Amino acid sequence: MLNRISSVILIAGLIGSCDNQKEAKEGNQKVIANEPPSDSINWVLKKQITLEGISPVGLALDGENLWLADTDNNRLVKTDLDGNVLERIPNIQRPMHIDFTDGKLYITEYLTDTISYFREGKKWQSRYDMQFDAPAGISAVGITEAVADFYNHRIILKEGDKEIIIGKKGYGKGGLFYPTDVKLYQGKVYVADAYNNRMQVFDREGNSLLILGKKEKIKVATGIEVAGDHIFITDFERNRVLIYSLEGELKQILIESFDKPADVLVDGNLMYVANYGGGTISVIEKK
Amino acid sequence: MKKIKVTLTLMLAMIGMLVLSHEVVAQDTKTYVRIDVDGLSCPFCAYGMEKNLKKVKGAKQVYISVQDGYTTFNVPKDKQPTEEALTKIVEDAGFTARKIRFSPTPFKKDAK
Repeated sequence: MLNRISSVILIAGLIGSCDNQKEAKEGNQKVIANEPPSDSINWVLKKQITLEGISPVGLALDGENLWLADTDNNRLVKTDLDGNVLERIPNIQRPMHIDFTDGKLYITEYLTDTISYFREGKKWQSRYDMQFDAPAGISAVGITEAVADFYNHRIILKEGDKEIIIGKKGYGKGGLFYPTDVKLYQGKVYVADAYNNRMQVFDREGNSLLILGKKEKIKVATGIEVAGDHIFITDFERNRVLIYSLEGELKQILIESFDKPADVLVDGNLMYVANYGGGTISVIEKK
Repeated sequence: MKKIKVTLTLMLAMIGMLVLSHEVVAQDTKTYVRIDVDGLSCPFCAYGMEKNLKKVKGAKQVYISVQDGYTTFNVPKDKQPTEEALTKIVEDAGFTARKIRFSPTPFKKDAK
C-alpha cells in the first residue's frame, strides 16, 4: 500500500515539474519557446557570415559596415555586411564590447582599463576619474557614456564631468556580478548582468527597475541591445538570443546557428549576432 | 677588399654566436610555465586571468589559447611561483587548473 502511494506521489511530482516546452521547426529556424505568447514576433535566420581568423566579441554598426572587436587578436576589424574585411586597427589591448555613435567608435580595452574612441582616424582617450578594472562594455549617447566595469561589478555612468556608480557586487535587486555589457536607451541603463545570468534595468539614479532572464534560465548573459521597443540578450553558454518587450514580456527565444554568442546588434529589421565560438556573424531578419 | 669581406663575415659570425649564447644563458635563467585550464571558453574570464597572470612577479610573454584551453608564460628561475599561487589565480578567474607544468625550456604552442 505504501509503495503504491509513493509511486503515485512520484509520478505526480514528475508531471508537475515538467516544463511546458514545445519545439517547432520553421524552415531554417529552430525555435524553442516556453509557451510563447500569441503576439510573439518572428525573427528568422537570413544568413551566416563566416569570418576568416576573427572571433568576434563586440559589434558596432558604422553606416553600411560593421566594426568587430577581435579580442583574441588584439584588434578591431571593419567589414561590410557580407563579412569582407575593409580595415584593421591593430594593437588594441583586448577590446571587448564597442559602440559607434556620432562618428566615433568607442572601445573598451580590457587589459589597460581604458575607454578610448576613434574619430577621423585618430585615437582619443575618454577621461574618467573612476578607475576601471577590466571595462567590458560601453554605450554612448551624446555626452553621456556608460561603462560595464567587469571586475568592480558596477556600471559607471558619466554625464559631462559627473560620474555616478550604478550597482554593486551582489546577487539580488540592484546587485551586479561580472557585468559584461551596457546599453543606454530612452533615459534608462540596460545591463547584461552576465554571471547573475540575467539582465537588469536601472534608472539614472541607480534604482533597479526590472530584472529578466531567471525564468528562462539564461546561462551567462554576455551581450545586450535595446531597439524598436525590444530588449535582446545573448545567452552565451546556451547558444540563444532572447527577445523581450520593454515591459519584460518574453517575445521569442532564438536558438538556431549560434555558437557562444557574445554580442547582438539590431538595425531596423535586421539583427546581427557575434558568435565568438564559431567565428561567424548570424544575420537574422524580422518577418 | 677581400680582407674587409672576411673581417665582416667573422664579425657577423661572432655577433651571431654572442646572440645565441645569450639566448642559451637567458633560457637557463628562466622557468617556463604551462597551465592547462578547464572551461576556458568565455573571453571575459580568460582575459581576466591573463590580466592577473601578468601581475605575477617577473612574468613575461603571457599567452592564452582560449580555443585549446591553456596558458603559458615564463618567469626568472628565482621567481618561480608555487603551484598553489597559480591555482588560486586560475580559480579566482572562475576556472579550474587541470595541470600545471614547469620546464627549463619553452613549451611548444598547441602541444598538449
